[in-house]
Amino acid sequence: MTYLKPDNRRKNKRARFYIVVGVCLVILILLSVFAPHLFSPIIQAVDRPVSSASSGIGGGLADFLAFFRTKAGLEQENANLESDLAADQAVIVERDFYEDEASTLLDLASSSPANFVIAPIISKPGFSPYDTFVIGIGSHDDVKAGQAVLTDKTTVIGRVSSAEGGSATVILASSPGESTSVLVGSTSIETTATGLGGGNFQIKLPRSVTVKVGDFVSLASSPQEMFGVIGSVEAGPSDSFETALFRSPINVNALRFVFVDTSPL
Amino acid sequence: MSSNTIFRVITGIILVLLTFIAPWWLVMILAAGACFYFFHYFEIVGLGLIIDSLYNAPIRDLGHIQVFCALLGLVVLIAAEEVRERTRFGTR
Repeated sequence: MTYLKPDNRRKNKRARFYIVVGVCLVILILLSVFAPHLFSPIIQAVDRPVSSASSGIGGGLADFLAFFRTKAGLEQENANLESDLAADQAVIVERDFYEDEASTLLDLASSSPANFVIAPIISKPGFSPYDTFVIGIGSHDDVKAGQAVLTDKTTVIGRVSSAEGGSATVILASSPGESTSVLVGSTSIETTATGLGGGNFQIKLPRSVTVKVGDFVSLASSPQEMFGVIGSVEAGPSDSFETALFRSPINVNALRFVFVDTSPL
Repeated sequence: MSSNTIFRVITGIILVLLTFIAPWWLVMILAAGACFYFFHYFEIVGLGLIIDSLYNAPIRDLGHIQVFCALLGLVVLIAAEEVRERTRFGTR
């Protein structure tokens, strides 16, 4: 009887392993190109009860991990929160003003609120590298890819990326590389905001344009909808452009429901 | 069924549950650990695919690849196998 040498056996095992890896790679590429949402209906159907159960137990893993934060980390976070609080107070006043104005304008324009459908958030952002989250309504509720997703009747946070039967994936406007046309400041300069992830955005403007911290940012498509407030403006002495950073005032992780604007695209 | 197989199955079930309730990076780190411990841990690709199926969207900064986590899992699996090959780490 002939036996393979141990070294040959190991080589064969490695060859088999890399053949399987190659097959996996081909399958993944085909999935990515032709059917990226092939398993989404099944997985999202499973996600709904599991996520509901975990949030019902007590806020999930976030509460558990919070136990391990250091005292120094908490002090630093406390200091950051206190400094943010003062800025947020001003933002809240401004936001309330624009919210009232926007709702009045909406009424005047007879834009029926019936187009807005309330959707529960099943999986929060931060759970994926895509900066997306899953909501509990889908194509059965007339939700389609491209529809705007709002936190209230005025504040847009993203758009529907894909819709399955009873759930949909929402891509945040702040997702890395996402571009959104915005108006900046009282002069209403139109420019493109690029998402940086985690609710942060970047805009580049000519230095001749005066933009300051605290300036209001709104969507170009609907100027009455608040989008963010300028947090910092940076420009080198030799730069012809200045870079302004802003973030959405909405913490999506703190939300339980969002609105989907189901009006025809 | 050997105790190692039972441990592997239980680990797999726990990791699948975590994909729904924990951040993606935590799942991938734990799965990477499992790659080093278990022999040919192809489950990591499946876990990545579950995360992708839940959240995927064509993101420019990820090259519009919608199976990012699964590909990452494949890379981790290859890296783990190469390390194991050279260090006799983990079970076989």
